[in-house]
Amino acid sequence: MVIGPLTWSVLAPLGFALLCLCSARGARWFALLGSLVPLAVGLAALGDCARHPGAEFRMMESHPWAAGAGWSVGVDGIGAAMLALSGLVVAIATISAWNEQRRAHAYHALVMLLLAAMNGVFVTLDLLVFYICWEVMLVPMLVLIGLWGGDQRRYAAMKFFVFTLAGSVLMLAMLIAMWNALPEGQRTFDLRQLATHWQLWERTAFLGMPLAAFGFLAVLLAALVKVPAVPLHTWLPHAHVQAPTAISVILAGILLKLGVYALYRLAWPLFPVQAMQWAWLIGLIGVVGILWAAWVALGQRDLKRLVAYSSVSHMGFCLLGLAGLTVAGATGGMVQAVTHGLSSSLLFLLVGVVYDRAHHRNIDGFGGLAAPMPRFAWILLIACLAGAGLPGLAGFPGEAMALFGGFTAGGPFPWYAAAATLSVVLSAAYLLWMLKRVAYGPLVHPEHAAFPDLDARELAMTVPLVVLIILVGVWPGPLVDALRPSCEALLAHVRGAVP
Amino acid sequence: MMDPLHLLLPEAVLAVGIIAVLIADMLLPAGRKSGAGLVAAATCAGALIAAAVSGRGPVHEMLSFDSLTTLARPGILLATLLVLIAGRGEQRNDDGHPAWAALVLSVALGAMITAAASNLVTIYLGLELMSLAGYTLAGWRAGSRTSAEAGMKYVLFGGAASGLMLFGMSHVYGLTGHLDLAGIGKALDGGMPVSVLAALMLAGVGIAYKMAVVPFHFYAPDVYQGAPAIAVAVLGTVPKIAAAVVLVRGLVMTVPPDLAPPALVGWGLSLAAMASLVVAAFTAIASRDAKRIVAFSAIGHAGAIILALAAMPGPKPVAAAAFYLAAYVVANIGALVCLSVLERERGSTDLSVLVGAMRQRPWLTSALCLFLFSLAGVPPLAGFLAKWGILREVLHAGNESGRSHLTIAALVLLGTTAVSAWSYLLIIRAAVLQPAKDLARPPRLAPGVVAVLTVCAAATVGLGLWLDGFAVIARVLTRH
Repeated sequence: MVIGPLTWSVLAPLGFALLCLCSARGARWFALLGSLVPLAVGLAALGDCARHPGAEFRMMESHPWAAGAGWSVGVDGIGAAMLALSGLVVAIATISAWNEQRRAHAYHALVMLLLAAMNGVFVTLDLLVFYICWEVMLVPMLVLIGLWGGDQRRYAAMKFFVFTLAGSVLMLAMLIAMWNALPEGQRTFDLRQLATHWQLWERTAFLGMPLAAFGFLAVLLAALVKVPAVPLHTWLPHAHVQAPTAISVILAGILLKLGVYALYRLAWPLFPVQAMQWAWLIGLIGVVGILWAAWVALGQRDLKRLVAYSSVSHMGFCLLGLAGLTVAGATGGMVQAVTHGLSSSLLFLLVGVVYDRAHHRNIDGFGGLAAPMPRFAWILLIACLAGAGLPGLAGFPGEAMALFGGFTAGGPFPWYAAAATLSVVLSAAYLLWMLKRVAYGPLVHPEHAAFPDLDARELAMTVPLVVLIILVGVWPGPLVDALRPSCEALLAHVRGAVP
Repeated sequence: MMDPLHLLLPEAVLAVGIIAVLIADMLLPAGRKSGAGLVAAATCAGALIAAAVSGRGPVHEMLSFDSLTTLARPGILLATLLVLIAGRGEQRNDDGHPAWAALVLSVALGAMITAAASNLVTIYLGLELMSLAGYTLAGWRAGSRTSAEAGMKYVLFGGAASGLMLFGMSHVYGLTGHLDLAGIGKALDGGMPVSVLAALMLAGVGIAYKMAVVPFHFYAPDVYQGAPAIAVAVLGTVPKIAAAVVLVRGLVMTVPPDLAPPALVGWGLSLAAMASLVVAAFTAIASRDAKRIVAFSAIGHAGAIILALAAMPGPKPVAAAAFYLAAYVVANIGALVCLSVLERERGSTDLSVLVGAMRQRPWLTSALCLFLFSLAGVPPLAGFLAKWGILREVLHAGNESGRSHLTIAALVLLGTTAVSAWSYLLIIRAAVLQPAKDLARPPRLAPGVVAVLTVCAAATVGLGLWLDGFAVIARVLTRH
């Protein structure tokens, strides 16, 4: 049996997880190696997608299992981008937790388990495996937040677990109802085949509504809890504040993208009619989230809460872009998902840097950090500007395309886009205001003058992100080329469902 | 015709084994009494082999050796064997009386008889044998007030349930003139009078009590919390298998088709299932003792099994229930064996006492977490696939026959899954997440405990990946 690269991107982290358990001293190296495998595979696939644009799946591999399920994997541009992002973010998070002393072997092993589960979601083409990996992610997150987090970590971890579990149980009912609806002998979990049966979900009744409507709501609920969309976001600030820095980075950098990915991979292809019908609602949820979270972020005193709310706000653009059902918007939503993974990871890393030195995150307790820490101030400036969507940095192309898509879409979407534009002002306000209060002005606390600037390890984790943020900002072409064909095919599928 | 007695070989082996254990106890010198435990384990293994070779036979008036029996027997014996092996290492000190093993074997014998019974008399005999041994096991820990209280509660509730059951059975006999299930079924062929239905429901109380289904669950939390964990591992699993078999057989053989699921009785079952699921999930999150949480989870799992049976007729729901039972039994025994080790070392399983278990015994606590996650239904473990199977059958039946109560019950099962996850997390929080100081280095685990935990963990993972399991069990059930 030949094992393909995508399977390795799941197996390698699992294998390194076992190695991590064996050696506390080598664990961090194993974790770094384990995250480089999916990064390399993802980059190779992404490069392939950029050079030969097309919506077809690459690196395909299929091993049937039983009862219509199987290990069948493949990535399109979006899957490849997510895979590369997950490898990158976990590698960076591993560097940021390089000096973790408390049970380092268990810590890195759990991160590797988490990475394997996330990669499983990104590469699989099988609905059952998708669901299994989706749920497995909760277990390492529970322990990572619950053991290595802040003062209220146990409550935050359990809240995260139950909240996201409750969000996805309806998806299980959907899975089973779909399996039951298929005629005997044709039962399968293959996503590509399930997508061709969308008329069957329309005809099948379930709980007094078409199965398609139920399924769409189920996936929507699971995805919106993960994204998280207002008003289902309440677990996020809590989890972020309590989580250790590296886990915050993983949470913001990849886990939130899983919600968007589920909409893109499950909700839209399987239930195209509902994707059309409910577009106005999802767009509305996106805009409300963008504005509400930006407004709340303005009032935050805790650095991490501010960055967490800015995440909620920026993820709204993904929803807005996807819901508008225009190629520009959908592509922009996915570009935003990738670039936000870069910029929010950077912001969380920097918050961690400050916290390591001051042991608090109260914005009012800082000021003038640019004097002792000039490198830190420069990188924070870039991160804030990228977050605020400055042209030339990574935050811009995604947001601009999502807004552009909104303005060109029909129905209420131009209004949504107009309202969302406000957030550009708001996000510039809260990020730059935070920057001013933390980095500039006179030094508030004299003891802060002794803070060391970023050391080599901290540069190693931040500089690659800065380079990528500038690179994608200046030259988004390859990324957009890799993502667009898949979005085009998806929209053609959705449009084809409604005459 | 061949002598049908050979069909009773496994039961005979068990009966002889019980006596052999007691005799071994008398003969063995004071320091080497634990040898009796070996005899018990060997007996159980022998019965297992006997069950494999004794085959199946025709349905008799008293006992029937049909596909249900052939499925239930290995389950009962394997569960008993696991507990005996784990308990041997555990119970060596103050509880190390070999009678303990004889009692566990008695529970198994009672369960075997119940699982093969096709007559009200044999059902009652089997259940009583199971209960009498069970009462003693619950109150086993001498000098412990909670254990004595558990035993007492078990006796009182169990006695009342037995009385009700006997009362109902006598009415069934009076109204139909039959004691065997097939005869009752024939007598009711023309329709079921309300009086017989009421009598059958009273007879069902005993079964509901053994399965700990709401509203006959009140004893379970107190008994589980008070009884030694290793005894709970027996009481929470073996009687449940037997009771489920009796329930299925009763539904198939006595209840006429116009009342059986999908009709009135199906309604009743799904109502009881929903009540069990909801009560278990919401009361468990208020518990502060690990064994008590496991007790509530047992009530919830009984609800899920009943729900599968509400989706009858047909072999598939029964196969789903059987798979669920298997997944539940291995995870439950595993979790309780872990808890019994911690209980022995720390004095109780109160959540505040379990703090720091992960630091002290990382492998044991990891195994405990695995079992709890399986009970919570986290994929890819056995509990997830089991829940999946039940949901599949229930949603299918609800959709095909327009039984919307089944669809609602399936959603209740999903909702309570999320709620009850919190209660398992309470145990995990105490054992894994909370910091602890001053931990002594624990003694090595007994090899029996290690072996049992390994088997249970492997089964929990393996069953979770056995997607074909439902089809295989359904084939066994329909084979004649």
